[in-house]
Amino acid sequence: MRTTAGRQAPERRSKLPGKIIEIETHPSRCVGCLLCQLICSFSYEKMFNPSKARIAIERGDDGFKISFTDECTLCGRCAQFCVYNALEAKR
Amino acid sequence: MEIGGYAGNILHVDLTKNEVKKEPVAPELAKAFIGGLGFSVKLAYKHIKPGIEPLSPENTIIIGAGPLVGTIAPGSSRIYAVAKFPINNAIGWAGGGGMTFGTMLKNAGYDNVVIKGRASRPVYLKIFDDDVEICDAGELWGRGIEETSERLWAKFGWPAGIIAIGQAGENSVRFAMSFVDNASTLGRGGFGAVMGSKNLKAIIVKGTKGVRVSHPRKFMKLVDGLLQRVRQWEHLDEWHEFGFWIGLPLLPKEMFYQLNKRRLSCISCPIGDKDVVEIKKGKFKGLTKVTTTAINSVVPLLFGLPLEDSIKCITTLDDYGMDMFEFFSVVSFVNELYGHGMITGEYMQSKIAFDLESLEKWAGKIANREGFGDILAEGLPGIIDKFGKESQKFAPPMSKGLSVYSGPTGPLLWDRFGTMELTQLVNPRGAHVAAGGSPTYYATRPLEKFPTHLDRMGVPESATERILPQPHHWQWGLKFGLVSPEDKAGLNVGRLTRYSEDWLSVLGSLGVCARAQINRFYYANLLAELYSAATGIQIGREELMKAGERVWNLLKAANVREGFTRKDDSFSERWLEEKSQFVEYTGKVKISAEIADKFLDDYYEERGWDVERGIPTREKLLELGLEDAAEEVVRAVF
Ligand code: SF4
Ligand code: SF4
Ligand code: SF4
Repeated sequence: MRTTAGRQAPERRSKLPGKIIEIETHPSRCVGCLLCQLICSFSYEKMFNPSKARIAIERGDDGFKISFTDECTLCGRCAQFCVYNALEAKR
Repeated sequence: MEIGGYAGNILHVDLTKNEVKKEPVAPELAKAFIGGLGFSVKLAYKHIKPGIEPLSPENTIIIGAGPLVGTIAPGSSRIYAVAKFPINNAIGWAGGGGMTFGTMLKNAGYDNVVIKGRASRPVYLKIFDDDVEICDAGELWGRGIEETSERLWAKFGWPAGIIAIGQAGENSVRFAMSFVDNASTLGRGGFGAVMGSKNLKAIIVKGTKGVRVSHPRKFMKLVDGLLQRVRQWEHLDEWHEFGFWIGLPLLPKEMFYQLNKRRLSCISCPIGDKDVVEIKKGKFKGLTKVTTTAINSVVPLLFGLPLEDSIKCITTLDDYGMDMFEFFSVVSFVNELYGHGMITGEYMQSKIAFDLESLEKWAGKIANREGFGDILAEGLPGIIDKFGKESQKFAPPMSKGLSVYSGPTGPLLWDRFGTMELTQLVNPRGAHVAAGGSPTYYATRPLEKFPTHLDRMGVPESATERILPQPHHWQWGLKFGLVSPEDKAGLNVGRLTRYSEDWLSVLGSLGVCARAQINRFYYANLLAELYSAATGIQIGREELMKAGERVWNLLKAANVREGFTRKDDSFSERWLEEKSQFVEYTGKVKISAEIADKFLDDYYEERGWDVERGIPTREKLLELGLEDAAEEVVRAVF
């Protein structure tokens, strides 16, 4: 059963103190909604464009793989928008 | 067109001439028809000439994604296709959760694709930004939908949106569907067969251009608010756990764990209710299947199949690209005809058994049009044609050539007569529930909750009074002696259906998913604000709802042009007959033919249509700015 512990409203999460040091990924929870790519590209490219996102979602045989490009700033916005708790910003 | 939200182009593909060209979207089209479903209907009205044969090169396929598709507005990935349907000659729409297709189409730079003609050999259409190519599909032809999609992804990578057909579509089975990304379905009326008749095996689309909005700050403020409400929704965890399964309380949760593997989502959706199911024991252990909802894979349980066989059966039907409701309808129908001696040994040696082996065998015969399968592939109307008018009385309840599938005779078992039931009759495309699905799907919703709910759907206050039970509006019930003046029963399903359809029309034109679990977060004012922020074109709630009404009226006009009138919306006697026990929404009054007919009257009246003929009036079409349609409807009818 999927755990939902840790789901927080986005505004609360962004007010947590401290710099993000890592975005922990839980690929088994990823459903391929690409909300992370939409918000990342919107934040940095001013448009919704999955191909310009700094987070990569790859479709594997048995689920999705998640990785980040070198340009990722660890701003954490993708984690804020991932409703499925597949991304978790660690401070 | 440099307006936010829209990609700005319509792609025209002529398969006969092997030609592609781009046409800019006319700005005046935007506000009047919004996009998505609206643009598709508008383009269909122009490009599908009345009277053409659905499986001929003259038929035109139009696929569209609305102005919110590709943005981060939650659940805005819906795509809508329109074509003339081979099952019933209706100009029908087919909508599907777009998975990646809609977003990729917009990113490639197109709001709509218009495909006409017929390729001289099997082809697939590749749309990668400006690189549009009609490619040889010899290697894919004859393969199922899953394999076709997987081969294309293996070659071109993911995300890439794919609309594909299986063998049923290739062989023009009149109830063949197309699948989006091997998950969502398009077209109960034979949309897959139209693709097949064009020798079009698949469409694959990838885009890198991005979708911009005109007022980013305002847009994101609205989206943040929406997502916050989604996160706070008390049922979100359950939906993430069970998906659509939870929407049908009758299904045991334990069974879900017997087939669940994982969940998939359309791009931008925080609900993510597409399922990957798995057979966990027995002969087919390890077989996995992507489905638009796990519920589909248990439908054969109704016919006595065990769970594992049921999943396997649906896997086979989906892979052929065949509508399961029509498949089970045609099989049941010929069995009944055989039982009554109307089909002889020349065609069938015994009834078709409802076990996996036999069902898969017949699915194959239909998909490949082998032997008697060739007649079954014509659907219910084709079988009636073959075995004569006498056979009709044994046909399952149907509307415009398709079986009505939500009602007391199943397979979506439901005894209440709500909008989902009425829209199966009045929907121009034929029996389909979606346009009546959102407001009354959970038909036990208490009536007290309706005013807020109707307001959300953009229903004007004056109409709310006509929809909700008012003792003084309950006169027809009184007339038939069915209710006492004190009786608070009743919901005017006829009038409500009009608004339910208009709501679908607005959502579909914008590109927001019509499933209740997503559209529950939206309301008419918010949609107007989102559209305005995305496109920079200011629109208010009334104007937006009017656009929805305009789209539905034009769709109807396209069908009046094809000869459809009130007689085509009528009830099948069998559906209402005694044993079916349809009851009115609140469960207090049994539905009779008279009441059902009165619902139809009310529906047309609420639409401002000609009640007797069941078609839009000239005045209504002119009021909506549909001058051409007004003229043509008058010409078609008088
Ligand atoms: S990581 Fe989260 S937001 Fe990104 S695709 Fe997966 S589920 Fe969606
Ligand atoms: S942390 Fe920021 S930059 Fe990195 S992928 Fe997520 S949204 Fe993009
Ligand atoms: S609710 Fe289902 S069909 Fe609708 S957008 Fe979400 S995943 Fe797609």
